[in-house]
Amino acid sequence: MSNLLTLPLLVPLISATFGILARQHANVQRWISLAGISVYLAIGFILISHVLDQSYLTAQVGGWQAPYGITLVADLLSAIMILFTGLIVFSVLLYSLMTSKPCGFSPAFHPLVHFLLMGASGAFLTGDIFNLYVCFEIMLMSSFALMTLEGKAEQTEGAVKYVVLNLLSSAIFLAGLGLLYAKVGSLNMADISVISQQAVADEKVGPIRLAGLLFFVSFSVKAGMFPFFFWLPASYHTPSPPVSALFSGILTKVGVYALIRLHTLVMPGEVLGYKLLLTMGVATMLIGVFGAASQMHIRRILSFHIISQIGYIVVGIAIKTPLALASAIFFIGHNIISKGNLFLVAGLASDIVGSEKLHKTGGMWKAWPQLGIIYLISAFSLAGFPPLSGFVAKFSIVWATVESQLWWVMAAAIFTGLFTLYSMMKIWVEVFWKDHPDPDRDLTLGKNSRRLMPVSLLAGIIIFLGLGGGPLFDICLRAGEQLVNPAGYIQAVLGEIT
Amino acid sequence: MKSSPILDITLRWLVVLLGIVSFFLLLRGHDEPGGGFSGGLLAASAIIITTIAYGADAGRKLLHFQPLSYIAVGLILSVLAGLFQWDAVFMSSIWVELSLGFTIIKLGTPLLFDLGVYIVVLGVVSSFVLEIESIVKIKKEGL
Repeated sequence: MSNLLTLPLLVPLISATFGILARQHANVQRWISLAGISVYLAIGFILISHVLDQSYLTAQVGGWQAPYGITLVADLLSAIMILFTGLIVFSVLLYSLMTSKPCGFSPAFHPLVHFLLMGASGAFLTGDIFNLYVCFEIMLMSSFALMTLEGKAEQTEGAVKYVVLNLLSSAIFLAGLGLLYAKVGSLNMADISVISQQAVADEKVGPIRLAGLLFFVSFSVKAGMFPFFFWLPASYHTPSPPVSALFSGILTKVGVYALIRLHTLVMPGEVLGYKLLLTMGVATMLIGVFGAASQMHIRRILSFHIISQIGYIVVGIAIKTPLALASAIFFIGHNIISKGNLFLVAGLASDIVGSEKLHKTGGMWKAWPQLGIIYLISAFSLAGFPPLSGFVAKFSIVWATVESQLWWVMAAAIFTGLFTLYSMMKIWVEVFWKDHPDPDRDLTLGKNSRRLMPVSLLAGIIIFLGLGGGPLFDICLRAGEQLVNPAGYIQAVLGEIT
Repeated sequence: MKSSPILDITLRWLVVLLGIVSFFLLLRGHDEPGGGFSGGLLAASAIIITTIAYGADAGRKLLHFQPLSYIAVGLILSVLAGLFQWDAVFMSSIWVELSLGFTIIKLGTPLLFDLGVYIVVLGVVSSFVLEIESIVKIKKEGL
C-alpha cells in the first residue's frame, strides 16, 4: 500500500503532462484535467480512511531507508490537508470550466493548476525538509505563471511583488537549511526532531534555534503573517477569480502547514518562542481585519481577511495543546472552503455587475437571490455564525484560549470576529442589497448560471462541516494529539532505531 | 540572414558532435559526472547555436517537434521509470543485462529516468531560446 502515498504527487503530475500534450485540444484538455482532479479527490478520501485506521503511513521512495532516503509520511494532518486541497481545486476547476473568461481557455491554465497541486501535495506528504523547500519552489513557479496568465499590467505588477518576496523567503529558508544540515547532518524531519530534542536536553540549542528562526521567518512570509503580509493584498486581487480562490485555498495554507510541522515536529520544546508566535498571531488577526475595513474593492477586502484568518490559525499553533492544534486544523479546513467560495462568488458577482469596486456594484439580491444566499452562507461562516463551519472553528479556538487562560487573546479573537462581520456586511450591502448605480444594467446571469453549481457545492460543504462539526472535530482532535506527541511520527519514519 | 561558409561547415560538424557528446554524458552519468541534466543542456546548446546562427526557424526545424511536447514526453518517461515495478515502492530501480556476445549492456530504470530528464531539459532550454529569439526578431523587424 506504500504506493498510495506517491499517488497524490503522481496523479497531478500525469494530468499536467497529458494536459500539455493535449494543449491544442481545449476540450480534451478539460476532460483530462477534470478526470485528474476527480482521481486525486478519491485518493484523498482513501488516504484519510487509511490514516484513520493506521495513524501513520510511510513510504521510503526508491527503497532507501530513512534518514538517508526520501521519506513520504502521512499523518492525519497531511491527510486532512490533502483532502481539503482536493476539494477546493475540484470546485475551482469545475468553476473555470464553466466560465467564459480567457483563463478558462488558456492552454496553460489546467497543467499549471495541476503542477501547483503537485507542489502542495508534496509539501503535505514529505518527511524531508529539503523536499519541503523543493515543493515550495514548484508551487512558487506555477503560481507565478498562473498569476500572469492573462498578461495584464496590474497582474504583472502584483506578480513581481509576490515573486520577489517569496523568492526572498525561499532564500532565507535555504540559508536555514544549510545551517541546520551543517549542524545536525540530517534533513529528515523525524531525525532532526530527535536531534533537536537532545539538544534541548543538553542545553546546546543555539545554532538549531537560529536555523529554526530562519525557517520561522520564511514560513511566516509564505503564510502572510503580520510583519510580512504585504505581498498578499498587493497581488491576490489581480488574477482571474478562480486563480485567486485557488491561491487563497492553497498557498498561505501550505505556509501555515509548514509552520505547524516546524513548531511541533522539527523544533519541538521551547526552541521557538511561544510568546513571539502568539503575539504575531494576534497582530496578524487585528491588522488583517482593520486592513479589510478600509478597503472598497471586493477581492482586496477578501485578501485582507485571509491574513486575519491566518492569525487565528497561528494563535492555535502557538498555544499548542491538542485542543488548540485541533482547532487550528479545523480552521484551516474551514477557511480553505469558505474563503475559496467567497472568491468564487465575488468573481461571479463582479462578472455580472461589471465591477469589483463597491460603489459601482449593486442589485444582485433582486436579480439573483440564490447567489445572495450562497454568499451569506460563506460570509456568515467566515464571521463565525452557528450552524456553519466557521462557528465550530472560531468557538474551538476561543475555547482553547480560555483553557490556557489567555484572556487578551480571547478578547482579540472575538473582536476580530465582529469586525469580520462588518466587512462581510459591507460587501453584502453594496453588492447585493442596494440598487445598481446604473439602472439600465442587464443583470441576467445567462450562461453564468452554470457556475452556481460549484459555489453551491462549496456552500454545501460549509454547512456539512458546521452540522457535522462534532465528529469531524474529533478527527481533528486525534490529529492534534498526534502533533503534540511526535514520538509516534518519529517511530513511524525511523522504525525501531530510536 | 547572410551566412558564411566557415560558419556553415563548422556548424554542421558541431551540431553532430554536440549530439554525440551529450548522449555520451547521459550514458556515463550513472556513476561518473554527467547524467540527464548536463547531457540535456549540451544537446540544447546544439539548438542554441543553430538558432543564433540561422534564426529561430532553423532551430525549430532541427528540433522537429515543439519544445513543449519534449517536456511532456520527458516527464512521462521519468514517471514511467518510477512506476516500472508497481508492487515495490515508487522509484525502486530494476536492472536488466543484455548480452550481445562481445559485450554486456546494463539497462535499468535509472537510465530511463535520466533519459526523461535529458528530454525535459532539452525541451525547456530550447523553448526559452526559441521564444526569446522570436521576440528579438519581431522587435528587429518592427524597428
